[in-house]
Amino acid sequence: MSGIRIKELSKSFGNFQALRNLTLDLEDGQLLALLGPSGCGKSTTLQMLAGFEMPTSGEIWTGDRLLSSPTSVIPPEKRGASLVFQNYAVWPHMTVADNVAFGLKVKRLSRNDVREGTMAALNAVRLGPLADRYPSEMSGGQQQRIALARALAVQPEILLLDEPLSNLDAALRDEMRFEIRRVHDEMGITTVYVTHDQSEALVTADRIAVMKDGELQQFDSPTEVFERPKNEFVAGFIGKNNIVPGVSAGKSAIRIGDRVIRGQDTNDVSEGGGAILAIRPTKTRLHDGNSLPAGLENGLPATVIRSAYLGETRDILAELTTGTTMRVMVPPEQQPAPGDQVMLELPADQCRIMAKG
Amino acid sequence: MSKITRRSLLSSGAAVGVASALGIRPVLAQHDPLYEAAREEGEVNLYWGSYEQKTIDELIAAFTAKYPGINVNLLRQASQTVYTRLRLELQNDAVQCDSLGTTNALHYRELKAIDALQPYKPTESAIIPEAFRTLDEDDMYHVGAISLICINRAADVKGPQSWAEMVGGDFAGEISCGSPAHSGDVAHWTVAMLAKFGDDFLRDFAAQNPKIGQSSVDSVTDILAGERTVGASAPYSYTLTQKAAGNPIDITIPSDEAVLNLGITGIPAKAPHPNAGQLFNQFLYSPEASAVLVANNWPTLRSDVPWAGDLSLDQISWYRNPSEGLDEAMKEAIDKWKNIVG
Amino acid sequence: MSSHSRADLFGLVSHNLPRWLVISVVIVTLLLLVAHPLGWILWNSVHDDTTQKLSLVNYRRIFSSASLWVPIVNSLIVAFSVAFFSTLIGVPLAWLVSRTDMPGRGLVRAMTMTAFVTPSFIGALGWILLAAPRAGWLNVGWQNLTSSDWPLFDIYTMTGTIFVCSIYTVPYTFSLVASAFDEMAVELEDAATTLGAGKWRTMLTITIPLARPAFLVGFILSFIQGMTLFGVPAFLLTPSGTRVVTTQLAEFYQLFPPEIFLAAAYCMPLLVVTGGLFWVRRRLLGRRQFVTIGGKSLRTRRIELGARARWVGFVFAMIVPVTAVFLPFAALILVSLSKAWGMGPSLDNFTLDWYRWALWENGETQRAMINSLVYAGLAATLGMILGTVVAFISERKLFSGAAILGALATMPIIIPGIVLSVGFFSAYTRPPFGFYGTSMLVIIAFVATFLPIAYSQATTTIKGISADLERAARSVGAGEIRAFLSITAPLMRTGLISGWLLVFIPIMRELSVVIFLVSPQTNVMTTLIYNYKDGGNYEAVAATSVVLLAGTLVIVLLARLFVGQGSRRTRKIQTMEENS
Repeated sequence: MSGIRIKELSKSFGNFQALRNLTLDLEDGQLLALLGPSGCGKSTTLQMLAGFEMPTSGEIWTGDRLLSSPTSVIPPEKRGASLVFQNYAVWPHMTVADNVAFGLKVKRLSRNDVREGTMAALNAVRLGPLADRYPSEMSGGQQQRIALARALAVQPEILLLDEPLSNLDAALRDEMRFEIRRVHDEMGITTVYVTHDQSEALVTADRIAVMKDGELQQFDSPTEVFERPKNEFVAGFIGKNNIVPGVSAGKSAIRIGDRVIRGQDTNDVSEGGGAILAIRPTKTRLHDGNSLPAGLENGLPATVIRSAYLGETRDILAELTTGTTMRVMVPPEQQPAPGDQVMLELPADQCRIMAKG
Repeated sequence: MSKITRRSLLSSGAAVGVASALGIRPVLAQHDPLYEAAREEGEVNLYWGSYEQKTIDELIAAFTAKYPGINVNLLRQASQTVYTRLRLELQNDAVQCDSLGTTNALHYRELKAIDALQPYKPTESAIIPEAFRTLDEDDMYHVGAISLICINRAADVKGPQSWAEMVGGDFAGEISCGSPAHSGDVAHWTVAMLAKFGDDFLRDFAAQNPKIGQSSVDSVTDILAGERTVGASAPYSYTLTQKAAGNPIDITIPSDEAVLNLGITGIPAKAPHPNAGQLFNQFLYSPEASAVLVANNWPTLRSDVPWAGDLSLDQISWYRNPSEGLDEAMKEAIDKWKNIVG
Repeated sequence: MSSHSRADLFGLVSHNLPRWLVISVVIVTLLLLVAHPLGWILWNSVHDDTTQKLSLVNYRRIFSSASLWVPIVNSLIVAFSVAFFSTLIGVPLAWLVSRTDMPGRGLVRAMTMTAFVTPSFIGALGWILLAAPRAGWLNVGWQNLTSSDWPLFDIYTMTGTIFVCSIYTVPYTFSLVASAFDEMAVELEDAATTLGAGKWRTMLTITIPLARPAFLVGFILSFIQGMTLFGVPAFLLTPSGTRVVTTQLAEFYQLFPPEIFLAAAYCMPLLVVTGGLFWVRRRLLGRRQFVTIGGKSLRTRRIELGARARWVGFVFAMIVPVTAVFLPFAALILVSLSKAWGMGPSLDNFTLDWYRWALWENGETQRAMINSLVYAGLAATLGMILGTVVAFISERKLFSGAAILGALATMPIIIPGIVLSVGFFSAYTRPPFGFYGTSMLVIIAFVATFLPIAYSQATTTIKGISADLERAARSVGAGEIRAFLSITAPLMRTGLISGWLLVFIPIMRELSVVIFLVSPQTNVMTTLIYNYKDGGNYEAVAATSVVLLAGTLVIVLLARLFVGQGSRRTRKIQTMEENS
């Protein structure tokens, strides 16, 4: 087993540049999530990893083995990389067991080994009892497990998952993402997981690569991506974030209206240039009145526009003097009413300041 | 067709009887060097447009009975089609044909002009009716069939007694005819009519609103179906065969001369089995072949064996187009036909 | 790929050796099978028939001679009318059979297939017996009934020709559109129904538009049929002296000396027209995806027509069975059972001799029947294999320019058989091939002529199978060929077998393409029947026609049975939408 190294990988289809200079290193046994909206290049990357597309430039390596380059692509069947498809792609003319056994038969294993490998993979996804059914008699979730078992049965070096849960309903999706993580932990296969759903990425991945318009935005651990988005796109894409525009006021500071808020820079901003402040609604605090209680700083005056009771919390929408609106999650005991003048406290360690755009 | 077979056996028996009474003895096959050579070759490919399927099938059967050991392959298509086929074979140097038999003399003049035929002299040529004994001074081709074009009519009508009467107006809407562009027989007939009566004949003919088919036998079909009652250009033998089968049809030999068209046969220079081809062509002049022809109402190729119904060439008045200038005459006839008849 | 150096290309090829081997074999095969004879036709067209020299005289003649334009105009009229009427009849017929509760659906389907099996020139013979203006049995009956002097029908007209061509072309439109209806997922209709659309509205706005590609293909195929049919216009239009392109072509061959090169040039206007049609189809369908997404099951919901409409529908649906099968075959069977058909049907005139003759006594018929079956079976199989591989390569775009292969595989459809025949003759009788007179030549000609049908059938089937199914196989270690053989091919099975039938049947009824290619040993039923007709032996023609029809039907039934068995296991195949 080995990690994956992607070096300055680019792909264009005619005039359309689907991927630009992607460089990533994934350690052996890790699970990487390629995360981004549709058209961000994540699926293109996965197709190149699987060997179905040829790079326009750049290279893909596993260990010391060059998998793909513009002049040479090891064909999919020789890469040791199994791919699980968004639409399952289970073969309707074969039973569940035949689907899973296929890869083992291709490897010319003995009958016994094929049977054992098949059952092991089916049991890993808890489909053992349904081995003799035809896929069409099974639910979407079960079909996706067949696809997973089929990919795992051949004991690949790399497991590739292409939006594996997007065709499932919400409940199944929740269940399956833990399932995938569990299987990954059990088998320790280096895995690349493509998704547009940030919560899937956060739950399953060791590392997340956030992509947009064919370019890598941030490559970090889930915590880092969530806690320290590198730019406005990542901040807006991962979890709920208030994005407040302002002007850079020097190192670790941003001017919003007539106030200066201190925070942490996540990328270089030149003083006086357009900047934004990102803070999560749950990290923002709300105080009644026109000023912050003593000892607190980083306050912004605001007017409450809407207040919604969610049980555990109260979801407040407030408008700043600059016209920007912010959402704040407050304990249900706090009960500001629409029209109230309030102070929003933005704790400095929760504020991320970055260049605009 | 057991019935027909029985009938043909009877009549061939009769013909053989006639032949032996006249003292004609078939050449003994065993001592024939041509037969030996042909048997060496083992098979023969006939490309024939003369004689309809049944007659030629029976001719082949009689041939095989007389000359065992030679496998006969027959490609029976329309005369023009087998000729075009041979032309394609010549063009591509892949000649398969050993004996070409078509109803159009022009085919052979053309083939002779490009040196595509090989000469042979039939051993029994003295028995061929004298008029047809020497069709080509170089013996490149010989008579293969005699086709007599006369007036056909539904059995229950009197019909015209002459070509002139046919286009006289009494038979408007009653006439069916083949097309000279499709059928050699019809083309010959058209040339003959033009020669005998001039362009006016075609104008008068067109005025009768004739139904134009393709093949010369289409008029027989129309008469049998009841679509028309008079056939302008059908071959005598085919009509008589239909009559013999019980169909309500008959012929009239026109008083102003039946048109005689010869089926010609020749052997391609590059024929793969030239001896077998020649053997078959010569067989057509044998008493056995004559028996088959009589049984099928075809004129025989022997002057000593009378035709079915005891007719013979010298009993009827007939006209044959001169072979000089025939190709121009044919082209002209087809053009005039297109312009006048449509 | 063009920017890569030679060494790079070698790297690409060596990693995918089997793929490139298969692609090379396919390219070579297509070049030999299609480009080679077509090249000869083109080459012939620029030669002078009299001098045999390179010349444009043929094209000059065609463009300057009005009398040569008339047949082209006539052919266009026939082709457009045939396409129009067979769409007009075929589409509602398909809808009635596959989407409604009309009675007798199975009968209509079977009879329409029987019409498909019938060579149209045999149908034309039947209709001559039925509707010749004076003696046609229908006209005689009509005149006896009404004591009218005028015939009800005259089959020897353009109208008659269009009618006969149309009824034997409807099966094309019918089978294409019906299978589009059959395979359409009921969910798509349900989606509309849930939005409040009534069943009629759903049909008009969802069902019919979704089947539009099938209409268009049906229309174009019918057009091509109308353009390239030879037997029907030869029998029905010659009496009135009307020429169409195919009969004009035949005349070129009949001329003395034959104008073979002029005939080749004369096909070129046809190529332009049909090529234009394919282009229109491309434009109309655009890049819209018409893949029908299979649901969990292929159940269809039938529209209830209501008591009266059901029977109205049934009467409409019987038009083709009655006119294309019952009536002409009744006439042919009557003739085939007569000692002398001119005597009319009566007990005295009854005989089975013609059948005995055709089946037992006449070696030619037996040999031709066996030849027809063997050639059609082999050619359909080889054609389907080649068509499938070409379809796969061009659908999955295995290399840039793969679409050209598809275009090449479609070419033969637009050339009249009689001209193709000469193309094959020129291509395969010379060294190094020297196939003349062999069964090989006839089979090659059939494969190439009907490759377009095989290719388009296979394309349709492959479009319904997601490429992900193959990719899944490859990602677990199967090579490209293994993935194709164990995943794609089995999933295509049902489609391929019906495709096989769609190739087999037209081969059984094809007349003109082999007219110069058959030898005495390789004669087939259609050429044999045509020759019998030429010799005027109607009873024999009728009996052999009935034998041909029966023989073909037996094979069709066997194949259907085979499909039925196979589809039971895979009936729930899901076809998945291409993941774009």
